[in-house]
Amino acid sequence: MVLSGVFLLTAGFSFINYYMLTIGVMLIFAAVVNLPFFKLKKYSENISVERTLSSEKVFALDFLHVTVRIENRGSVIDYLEFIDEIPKTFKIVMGRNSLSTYLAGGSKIEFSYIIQPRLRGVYRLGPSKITVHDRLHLNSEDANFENYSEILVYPPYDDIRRYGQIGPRRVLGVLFGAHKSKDKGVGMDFFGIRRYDPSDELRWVDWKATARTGKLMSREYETERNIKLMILMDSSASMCSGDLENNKFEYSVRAAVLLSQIALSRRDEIGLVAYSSKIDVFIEPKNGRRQLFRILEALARLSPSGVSQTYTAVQYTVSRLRKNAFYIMLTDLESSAKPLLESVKLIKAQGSELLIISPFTPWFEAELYSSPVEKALSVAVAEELYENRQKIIFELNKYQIPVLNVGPGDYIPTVIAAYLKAKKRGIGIT
Amino acid sequence: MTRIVNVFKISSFLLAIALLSLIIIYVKPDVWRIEAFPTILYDSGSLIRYGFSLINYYSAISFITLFSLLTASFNSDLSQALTQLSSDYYNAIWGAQPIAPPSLISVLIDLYYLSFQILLAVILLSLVLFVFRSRLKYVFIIFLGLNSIILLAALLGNSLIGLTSLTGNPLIFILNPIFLLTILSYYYLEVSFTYVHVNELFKENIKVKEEIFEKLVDVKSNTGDRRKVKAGDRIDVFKLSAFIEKLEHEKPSFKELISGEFIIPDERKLIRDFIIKSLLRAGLILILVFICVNPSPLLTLISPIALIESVEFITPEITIILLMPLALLFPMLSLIIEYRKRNSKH
Repeated sequence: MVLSGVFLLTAGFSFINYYMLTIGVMLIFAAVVNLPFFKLKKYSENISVERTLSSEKVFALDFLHVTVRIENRGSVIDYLEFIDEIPKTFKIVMGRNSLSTYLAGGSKIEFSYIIQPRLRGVYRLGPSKITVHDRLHLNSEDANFENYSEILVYPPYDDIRRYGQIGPRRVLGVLFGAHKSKDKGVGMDFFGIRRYDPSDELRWVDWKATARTGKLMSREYETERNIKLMILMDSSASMCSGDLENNKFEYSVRAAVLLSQIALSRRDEIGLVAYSSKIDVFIEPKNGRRQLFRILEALARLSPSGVSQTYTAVQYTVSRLRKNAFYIMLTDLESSAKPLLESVKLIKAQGSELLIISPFTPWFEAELYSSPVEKALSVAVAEELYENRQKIIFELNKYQIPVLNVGPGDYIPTVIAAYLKAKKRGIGIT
Repeated sequence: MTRIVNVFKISSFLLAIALLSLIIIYVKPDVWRIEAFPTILYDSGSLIRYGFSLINYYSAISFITLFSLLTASFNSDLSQALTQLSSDYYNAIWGAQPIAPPSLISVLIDLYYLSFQILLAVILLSLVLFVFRSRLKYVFIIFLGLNSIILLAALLGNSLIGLTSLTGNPLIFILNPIFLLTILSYYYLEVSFTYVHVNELFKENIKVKEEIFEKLVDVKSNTGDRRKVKAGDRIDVFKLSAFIEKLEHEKPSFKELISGEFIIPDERKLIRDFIIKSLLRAGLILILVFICVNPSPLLTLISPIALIESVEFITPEITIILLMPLALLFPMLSLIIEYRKRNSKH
């Protein structure tokens, strides 16, 4: 606009034409006259942004409704651009978190959007950023509103929900054998009717069934055997290598959540230790609904870092748990073998059992490599890792510690199967 | 819904037509020469023909000279016959040796008159495109095209406007057709900018609103399917639908909130604000323009008598004396305000 003005002004001078001169002067003034008036207004001070969340705690892959209210207490805003920053791991599933609008003086606008957190953790929504433009977009003013809203994202509840659907129906599948973990013979829950055995007490005889079949029949009862379970979770930096949403650590978290839910639903005691360079989380084994939320909240806040100090973690845990328990260690076995073997000795000395479930790194990163060169390199790295791992497993086997190598497909079923097996065998009975 | 957008669009179109009509009035009718286009076509043809004839002529001459040199030593008859044949061939095609080129001045004059028609065609085309596409670049093309007509006309003294200075009292300025054209030009730009701006805001927000409504219906209609999961994005539509139903139950205004219905500006407030602001701006700008193009009253008060009585005082360049400080005053003020604001923040 200014350039056009200067052009017409000089043309006016050249041709001694007062029309062009006037238009040139008009264009120059039209471009600059608004500048001080725009600067005089205190847009950012007159705007207030308020954000309301449907919930401050949410499960990953669930939804969150965010309502934003913008109020303009000052004069009119010709062009307002607004963006409400969301974390990278959140996805907008409906609505939008940004807008452009005209905002009259003393007015307020309200809009909302639905987001889906993809990953557990502690996140902050915000800041809200506004840019105010003048009519011609010649001037702009930016402002950041540090109005953060903290959100705690629990690990996904979908596994638990799925278990909830499968469990009562007791279908065959990954949880096959769940109903077999009961201790038959004594207890309160009716199990079934069978032929009378001379060792059976007479009070167990079912007279109705005897009359119906013509043979002496006994009633059978069952009871749960409660076990104490301790999850030792490696939360070192090596556990979160690879894809942000599908790395070893995230799978370990999902497995731990589901294991906790299943164990707690069977009135078993379950605890959690997450360790890296230090003990990040220690939750003593307990049962009850609250324990699940304790574990969920601790897992949501976990952030893998440092190197794993297995021995320190195990020593602390063993000293805190006087009685024997069943330890399930979730680790990628990428730290040195010696502290691990020392830890095994401590657990064995306590009379407890240990099972190591180890996610094998290359299986979690297989999909990340696209080019043949990357694939070849990953195969070479995988072979080296496998050799080291085999050495550690060989050493662990000397102490009769089973190690199960798992990938993304069989991680969770393996952990659950291990628990059910332990339950059946009565390992870690309280 | 888009009533306000249409009001601005029609106003902008009408202002452009009014400006065009006035511009056509304020240039001599002589500039609109219909024959300029065929004449320039004929001139272009003549130029091309002249170029070819030159090539043909000199190549024929070279050929004949060379052949004459080769044959003259042993057969002068053949040489003469060839020379004759070549010149006959050239004359048969081009007529003269070589043909006369068209006059450069006549080509330039034709081009000058053709430029008016081209500018008019560009303005009309941009006007049509502006109606359908609503881009700011068309506003600039129309505005600069209109002023280029005056500029071109002034080049050969065909302009009928702006020939006399605007010195005198404000009434003379207001009654001058320059004032009318200036105010129309200003309002054309103001209305067109506002139209593009409002159109962007309304259309964008309404489009997003409709998209969200569609998505909402889509999600809700999928509730019958058992846990239909959209490929790739891992969104459980069943779960999302249940969540939306819960929100609809809890918040009666959920649909308006999620679709951004409350974001769409209030038409009345926008119009009222536009009228007040544009009147104030236009008033201020016209006062400033009057001060700059008619500097004598102000300069008489502050300048030495030698300057006021000098010959330069009656030239258009005198405008610069007040234009420069006044035009720079506004950015300077804004810088000072910004500096003070920044300092007060710290």
